[in-house]
Amino acid sequence: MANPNVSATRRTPLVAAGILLGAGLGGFVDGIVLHQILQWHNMLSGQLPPDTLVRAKVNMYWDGLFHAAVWVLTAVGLALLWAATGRADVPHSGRTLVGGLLLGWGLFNVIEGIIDHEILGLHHVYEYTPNHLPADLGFLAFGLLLLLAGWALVRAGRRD
Amino acid sequence: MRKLLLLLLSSLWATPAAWACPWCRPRVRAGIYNAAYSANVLLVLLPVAVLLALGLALFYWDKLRPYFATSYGKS
Repeated sequence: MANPNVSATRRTPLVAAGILLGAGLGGFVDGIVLHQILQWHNMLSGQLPPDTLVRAKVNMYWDGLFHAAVWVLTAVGLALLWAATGRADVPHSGRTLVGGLLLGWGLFNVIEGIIDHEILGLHHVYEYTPNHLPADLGFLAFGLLLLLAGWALVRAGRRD
Repeated sequence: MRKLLLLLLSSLWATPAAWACPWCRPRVRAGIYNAAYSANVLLVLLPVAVLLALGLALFYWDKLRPYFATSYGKS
């Protein structure tokens, strides 16, 4: 039960929970929309193009492992959110939580975009073109926009 | 209406069935569980591991901060 004598001033646990939840859900958006519905890329399509049934099924395995990992990220985020909302010193701020969610989604795009697309070359956002850079940069730019929007919401949540 | 239903049913009957691919399953397994398996697991999980570490570090930052402050103070 919340102690009314303790002021709710620590927003970091709420932001952290939002970041993990947002990163997990952002990973699902990537996996469901870009891998499965639009079929722009798969997890290892940069190294193993899915141009035969066997290669497509091998990529499907690595897509599954990626989905399992972002599921864990989402579950841990949910557990942290539960722990944060039980604390008297953590404010019940919707803007802070939504800001954290957007920060998490943005961080997912930026970190996954830099590591997988640019450094390791496991895959690119849109594989069916000789020039992968525009779509890769668009993915990173969308991530940066999400980071800015998330940061602004977290700042606005200071007044909650 | 009855004719339409019969037409739909007959079109279903005429559609070629989708079969599992028993001959390609060993090739798929060979394509997954090869010498690069551990490296691929690490590479696929790397961004998620970075995000998880970042989120957990931020959540427990109040507990971690004194530890880092002490470590840096000693060096």
